[in-house]
Amino acid sequence: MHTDRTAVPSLASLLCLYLLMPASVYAQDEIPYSREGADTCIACHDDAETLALFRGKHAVPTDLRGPFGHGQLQCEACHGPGGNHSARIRRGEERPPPAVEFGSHEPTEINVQNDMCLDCHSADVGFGWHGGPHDDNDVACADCHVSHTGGDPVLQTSSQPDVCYNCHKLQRSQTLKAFAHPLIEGKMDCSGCHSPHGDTTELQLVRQTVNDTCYTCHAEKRGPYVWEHEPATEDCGLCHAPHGSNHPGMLTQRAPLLCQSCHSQAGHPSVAHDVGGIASETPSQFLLGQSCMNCHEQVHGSNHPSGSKLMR
Amino acid sequence: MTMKRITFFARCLVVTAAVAIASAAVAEPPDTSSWACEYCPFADGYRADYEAGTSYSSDDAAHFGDGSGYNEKGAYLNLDGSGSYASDDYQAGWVAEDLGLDSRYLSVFGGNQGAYHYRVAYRELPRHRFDTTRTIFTETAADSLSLPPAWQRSAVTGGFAALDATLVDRNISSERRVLDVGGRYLPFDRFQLSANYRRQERDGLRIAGGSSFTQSSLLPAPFDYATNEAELGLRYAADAGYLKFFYLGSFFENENLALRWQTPFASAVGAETGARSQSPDNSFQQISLAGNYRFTGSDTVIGFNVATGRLEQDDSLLPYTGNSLLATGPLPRQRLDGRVDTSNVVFTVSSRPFDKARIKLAYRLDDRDNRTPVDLWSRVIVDTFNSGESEANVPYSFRRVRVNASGSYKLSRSLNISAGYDRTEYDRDFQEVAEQTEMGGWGLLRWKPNAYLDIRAKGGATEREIDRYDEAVAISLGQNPLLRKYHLAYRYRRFSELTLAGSLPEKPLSLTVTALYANDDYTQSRLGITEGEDLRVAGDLSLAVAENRYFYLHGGYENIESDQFGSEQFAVPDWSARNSDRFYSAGGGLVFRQIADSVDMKLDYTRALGRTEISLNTLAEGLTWFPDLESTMDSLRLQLVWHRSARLAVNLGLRYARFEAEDWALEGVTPDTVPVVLTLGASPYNYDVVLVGIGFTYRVGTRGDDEDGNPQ
Repeated sequence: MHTDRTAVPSLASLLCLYLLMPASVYAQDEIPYSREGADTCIACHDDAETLALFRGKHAVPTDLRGPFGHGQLQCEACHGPGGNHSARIRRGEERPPPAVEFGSHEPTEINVQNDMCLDCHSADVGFGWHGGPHDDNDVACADCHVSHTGGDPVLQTSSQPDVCYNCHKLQRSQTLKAFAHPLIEGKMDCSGCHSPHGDTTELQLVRQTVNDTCYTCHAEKRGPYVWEHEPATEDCGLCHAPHGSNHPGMLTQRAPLLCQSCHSQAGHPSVAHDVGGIASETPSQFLLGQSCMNCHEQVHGSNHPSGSKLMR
Repeated sequence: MTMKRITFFARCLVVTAAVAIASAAVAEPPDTSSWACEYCPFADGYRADYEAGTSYSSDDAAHFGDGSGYNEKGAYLNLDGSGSYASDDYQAGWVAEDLGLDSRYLSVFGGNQGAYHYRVAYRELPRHRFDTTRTIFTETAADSLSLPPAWQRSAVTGGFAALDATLVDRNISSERRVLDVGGRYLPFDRFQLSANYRRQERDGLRIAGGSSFTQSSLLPAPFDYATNEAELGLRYAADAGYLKFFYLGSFFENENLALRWQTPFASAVGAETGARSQSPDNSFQQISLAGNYRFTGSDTVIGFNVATGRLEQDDSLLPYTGNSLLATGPLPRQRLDGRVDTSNVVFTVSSRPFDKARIKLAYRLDDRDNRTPVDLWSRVIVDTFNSGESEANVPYSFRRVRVNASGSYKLSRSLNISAGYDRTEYDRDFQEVAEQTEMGGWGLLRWKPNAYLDIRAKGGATEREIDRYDEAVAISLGQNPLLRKYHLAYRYRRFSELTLAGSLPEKPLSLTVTALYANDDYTQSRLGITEGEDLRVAGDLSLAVAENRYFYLHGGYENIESDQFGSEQFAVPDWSARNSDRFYSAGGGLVFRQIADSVDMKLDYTRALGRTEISLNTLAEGLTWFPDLESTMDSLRLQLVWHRSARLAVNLGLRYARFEAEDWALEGVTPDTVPVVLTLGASPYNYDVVLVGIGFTYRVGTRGDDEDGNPQ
């Protein structure tokens, strides 16, 4: 058989070209930008929800850092180049999607979505984001934030918890307990204690430790006292359940059993105070009223010189 | 190599380079100077929604009004709203909530975005604990409670002849007021200055125990707190990282150094008045330096946070006793000069060495170094007698070091596996356990085959070991040497977690369920907590039946159990107890918008049931059960908004709340039920409240609206 030897170098050239071609060419992601920026987009996307963007912080033309600052890329600053999406298409042809679509159910990879946001907001929120629990669990910025609005629900105290409850079901259930922080009343939000963007603090809290966070509102417990109650100085969570509890004071357990889990001194601390002490039987000061705290009320510590038993 | 082949490869390289250069040119951003944004409806001018209305509550209910402000039967004024203003170089806004209630909130903010920003906010938070309490005490001064005139003391409450005639209603309530003032300023590119000042005031009544040797009185204790907090921050943001210096100062003030009360019980001569210390003034100041840097090439982020702080308390000390008949000697000092130094160091590395893998390392140090001076203090027993003994105060300190290492790997597009190792070390002063180490590991499997299904299963275990439980320390505190405090004891913990999130493609249905289980074994504890178990399940389901129409259901279950042992004989265990906390919640609702193009409706119902079962097993009585502690809440909310026009809306609201509690610690406990405790006679929460309201929302402003006020 006669072989055309001129075809061999041609094929080799193509193979060489393929192997040595920069990856960016193979990626097929060389998407052009639109012709007129936002004016191109608004020609189709003129609905109220989309245009609500212009009531928010992303659409301030005098802020040169923002997408709509003079000279910026407008819609395409976040959604990526929109040339293909906005170009003419043939009849029956499916319109290419935007380069970046936001939301967990969108085809754009979560980390690509988030990188778009972090390109501008890294300093504001990126401190603990990378490697934090939300990043680890592929939470998209758009899962919590709404950009196309004048009032992002997650930034308002009364509506923020509902956004968090989309994922944190266990915590929503706990806030419905009889004794809880006033989240369901809309008077407190999750970010009052937690840093949702991640932080290097303990449990993603707004302060360095659990106790420091609690002291932002409960500074009267801070001490130091003459007589300290050592578990209270170490971790408020040893006795309290901050998301909610069946017990007053959001305690993890009722007194006297809570106290008797650590106190065994001879006498009344080690006595088993059973049902015979309720009001209808032989009313006991160890069960009724405030139980141990009828007398030992200074459980967070006492500054009284005679307060070593936390009674003064 | 022949010339022919050299030429061939040279041509390849030239073509490749040309393509590369061409590719790079295509990737450059375009020239946007012609992007006029003619159709962009930029905000301009003032726009606001003003809401005014009235509500009526059908009943008094402290628990219902706790936080909300609707604690009394009657009519309420509702004032709410929000507004915004925008011009070329200035933007501002305001938000008002519940201005007519004790839970009012007002925030005003503004600035020139990119240059400066300010915010002023004010919030009130009412706390209503009980409205069924009664007391004989009257507040004769901010720090003094007095008995009724001609009160006759007795050793037991049954002997208080004047009790019924002198009890008066006194609600246990307080109010918190918070003023927040802050701002940010960007003086130069990449630099940001931030400052925030917050003042919290809290006053009202709380319940305090006033002990008088073998008896006690629950006091309606007045308190008056204020906390001033200042934050200052300076941040530099680079392209790949940032650096931030931060100062925090918090200063707590208590108007009252002490609370004095006249004891109603027969007491030793000179001990008729008790005095307990109130929370002392204190301050905490901290500076921190934090930052991170991202190496984009390897997608590695290194972060750190270093903080040092000091907590001080130097309030005047009360005398040992107010009983002038007791000789006590002088105090070792007039002020505590209390001081605690804190240190926090964090270092983290998070990296994606290649696309499918991620590793993370974290180191954390928290140190609490209590430098409060140690002195010997005389032991005066509740103003009744001087024991003649001395006792030294103990400045507890601890250091905690945590190291975490974890990694994840994408086995496939849909399957991801992760694992981690955690280690925590504690060093404590003056406690039964000086050194403690907890180590554990976990593994997680995540299967996410598409955007509509996500299943995660996680499991692991930790073991907490202690070097030695110092029984000498325990004995010095009067403890049974067999006791192991649960946060200091050996513990083996197993835990697992399962999360399922699913939705149907192209169908408006989604389901999420989360379950968590943990079991703690304190196998080396003979007294104290010996086992704990925690099971929690929660989930929800939502279904959108049409655009702007959806239903939802949610539910939760929680069961926390613990077993503990005690010893009445101060020897081996001779009694045990089991505590079981259960909680059930369920609810659902619907949101329908644009009914007949003008009505929005929201309906929500939630039921929550909490139940605590406590049993004791003792030598004398065998197994006995307390009556269940129960709380049941039903909450129904209906909200209707009729958009009468683009500017005017009518709001109708209905809320029904029912709360029933069974609490043996309060039921049937009148002020004189317990012979040696004068209580406040609080009752368990039980109420039925209907709250109805009507209001109007009026929209003003032309920002983004057409001439008729229709949003553009």
